[in-house]
Amino acid sequence: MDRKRQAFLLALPASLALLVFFIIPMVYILFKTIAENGFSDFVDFFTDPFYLDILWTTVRVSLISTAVSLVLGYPTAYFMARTKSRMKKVMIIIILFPFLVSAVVRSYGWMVLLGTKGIVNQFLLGIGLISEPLKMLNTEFAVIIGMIHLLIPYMVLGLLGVLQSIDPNVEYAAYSLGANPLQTFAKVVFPLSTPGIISSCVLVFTMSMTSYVTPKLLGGSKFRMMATMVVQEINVSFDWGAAAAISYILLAVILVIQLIVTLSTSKYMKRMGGGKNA
Amino acid sequence: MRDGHVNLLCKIVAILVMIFLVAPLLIIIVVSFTPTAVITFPPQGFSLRWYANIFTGTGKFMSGLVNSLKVGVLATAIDVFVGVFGALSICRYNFKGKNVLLNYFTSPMYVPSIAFAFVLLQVYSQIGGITGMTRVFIGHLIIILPYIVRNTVSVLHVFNWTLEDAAASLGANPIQVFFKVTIPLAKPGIVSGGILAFLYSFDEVALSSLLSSPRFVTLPIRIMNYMELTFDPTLAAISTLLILASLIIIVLMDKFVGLDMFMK
Amino acid sequence: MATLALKNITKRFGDFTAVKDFNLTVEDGEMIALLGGSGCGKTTTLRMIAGFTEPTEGSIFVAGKEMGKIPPYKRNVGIFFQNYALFPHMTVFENVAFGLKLQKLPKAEIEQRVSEILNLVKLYGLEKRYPRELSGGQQQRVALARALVTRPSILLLDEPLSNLDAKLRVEMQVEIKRIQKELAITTIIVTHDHEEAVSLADRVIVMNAGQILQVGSPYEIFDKPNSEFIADFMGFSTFVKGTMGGEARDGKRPVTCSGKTILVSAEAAEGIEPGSSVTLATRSEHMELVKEAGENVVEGTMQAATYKGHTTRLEVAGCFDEVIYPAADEYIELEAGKPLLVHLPVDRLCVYKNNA
Repeated sequence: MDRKRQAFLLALPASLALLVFFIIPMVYILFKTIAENGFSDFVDFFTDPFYLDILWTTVRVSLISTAVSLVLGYPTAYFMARTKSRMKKVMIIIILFPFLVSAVVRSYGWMVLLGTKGIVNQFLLGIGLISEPLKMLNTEFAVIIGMIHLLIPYMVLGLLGVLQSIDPNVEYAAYSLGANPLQTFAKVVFPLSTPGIISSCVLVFTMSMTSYVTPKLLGGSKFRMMATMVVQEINVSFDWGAAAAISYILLAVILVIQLIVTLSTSKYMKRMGGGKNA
Repeated sequence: MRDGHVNLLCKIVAILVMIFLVAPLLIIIVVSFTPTAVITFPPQGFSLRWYANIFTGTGKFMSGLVNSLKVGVLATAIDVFVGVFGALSICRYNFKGKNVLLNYFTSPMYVPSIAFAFVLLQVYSQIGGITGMTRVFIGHLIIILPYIVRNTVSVLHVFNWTLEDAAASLGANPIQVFFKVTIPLAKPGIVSGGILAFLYSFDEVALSSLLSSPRFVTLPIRIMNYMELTFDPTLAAISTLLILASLIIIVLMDKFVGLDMFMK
Repeated sequence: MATLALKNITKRFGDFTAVKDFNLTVEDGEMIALLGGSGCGKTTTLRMIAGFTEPTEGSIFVAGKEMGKIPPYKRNVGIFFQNYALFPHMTVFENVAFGLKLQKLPKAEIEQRVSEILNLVKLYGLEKRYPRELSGGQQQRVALARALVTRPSILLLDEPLSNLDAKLRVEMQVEIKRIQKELAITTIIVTHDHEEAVSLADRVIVMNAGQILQVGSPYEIFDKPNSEFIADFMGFSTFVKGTMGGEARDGKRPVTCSGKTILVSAEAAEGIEPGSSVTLATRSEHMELVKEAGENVVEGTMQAATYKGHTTRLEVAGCFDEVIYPAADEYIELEAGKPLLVHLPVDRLCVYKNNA
């Protein structure tokens, strides 16, 4: 058996499985939707303020969650990248741990904490800080909290990878040349970690845009994001055309974002050699 | 280090983040032992009644667990072969379009699983006759494949292929080379990819919630359904068991493959 | 341009003492090498001078001023890293100008000083390149230029030649020495390579386990190491055990090694009582093959011969209990068992008293 044939045969099962169960259905349903209803479902989406508001809510929640995850995740990752203490191992386990725990379980934890009769309200009422329970669960706030909880591990791991690849001597070199810690961060560490920041933010933003469990459990029935809306159109409104439009628009939004980021950063990434030191 | 205050700031943020990550899970564990139906903190006493309720209550958690394990194990087992073969085809041979093939194999990662779930739902209703486990299984088979391909490729990418030649020069035939050299060396990637893939399937909600049939419901969906009807500490009990299982998995992973493999 | 003094420096990491009661004074414009194996405390010492880590005890003075808790970015100590540690996202110009820009100098002055220093390290014309577009030798020159351009009072070099191939090493050795003398900058080199240390420094300090073992001129360190440990570290190949003989005669004293009498210079054996157990040490290139028997000539048989280009390194057994390793200036065919006469020159033998 020549090598070309070997490669072909090895690639065959995965290629076929993806083609039959993934690519063909994705394309077929797109064409079917357009064939049956034309572009009306897509036009409806972009002309109906109700749908546009859902898109905007999804983007807003994702932007806020990504931004907060970055702001909290960056110092965390930096500390983990530079510390030599035993704490690092514990932190890695804590970071990986929620990875393995279902989003349902994690959202449930926040439901217990944030509910009207939840632990936070019990505590605040108990110390007399509030007289009426705060409505936290089933709000955008709860969704954002749950989302950040879901996303920070991905953010930290992404940043940790790039920060660990930055030679600590480069920072020391900056100090020895008269840069204080803030200047060293701004002129050396931050620019060198931008590839990791961009890729982690894109990953986390995408996950947030497409997330289903967190908005469903923490946002309540009146809070709608793109993914929960798909299910609602199918199960409640029985409007499969609208569900198709939302599904494909969500897919398109994500692909466009990935494409823009990849194209606009490829030159910079190349020059930096992927953030590695020369 | 001299830049003590910067490090201190990072350390404080890091510790707060860790507390933030762990707190909801710890709360769940504590709450699961509460004797009362209404959750209070700290709990008024200690009871295992909610654990008993997992098995005796209306949640059908055990059948959910069995279903989740079935789908997860089957999909992972098949994908380990399909994915490792795919990864080998990319890394072991030189041809144009290797990157295109890799992107093709990992493409399900870029598609929102809810969109894919909707598409499968439509296809099933068109074709008809696809029932029970198959509905969820096909979806999981596709969405977990990228994890196995990606982790295996990340190991094979830095693989020293001359080792295969070395083994061959020592008299190993191609099949022996494959099973005694290539596979053992790629093992960390295969194992970590397999574990991630299984966990992804086990925890998956978006696909399962659209594709589950009443006769075949996975554990996360059982939990979500229960949540909508009864918000009692049975949920905390089953969640605690899942958290415990994750903890065991992470300890085993640390011992056998090292946690580095999961940080890619 | 300044003197440097380290007074009673001790550095502990937990239970581990990296540097122990270290004292050193470096004159203005002097070039000092800290020489030792890995873990000897040389790099820790360098990092303390740079201010990256604080001594547990003791003080560091630059130009008479105590550094104390002064952070590294206020010390004006230039440092050259073994792996260069260039900023990968900056061009050569930006790398070199980094320190000057932080000093908020006028643009014209920055440009002038950068071009001056790039001329000095012979890198003119490469300003717009990124580090990864440069060869190893060029990267090293950028690192050197970057450390020098801010006119630091002390220059620290961490293994400056270790990453270069043989030819570039010689070239850079000359360059570094030339630039250092031209700028008359007080310089500390840290290295594990004795050739690097003796070829660059005015004074060499041999360290082990956080302490100074010997301080001396490159010549002293290279030819007259004061302990067997240093001799081994400095590349001495042949070590022979023996017993110290009696009084000096004609400036020579006898040592009995494996029943044979070897004469050593009285100077080298000074202070060693007769009857003491000693070790004689010498370098391969100091022993020679001779045709006739005579003073300090021993007979043995050839065991191995390794041709090294300009010399042949031999293993000769039978002279003593230990194998000796003379080197010959010519190509010698291996003839196992061939009898050979080896001369050990009196003034080339170092004598170390063994501890009981």
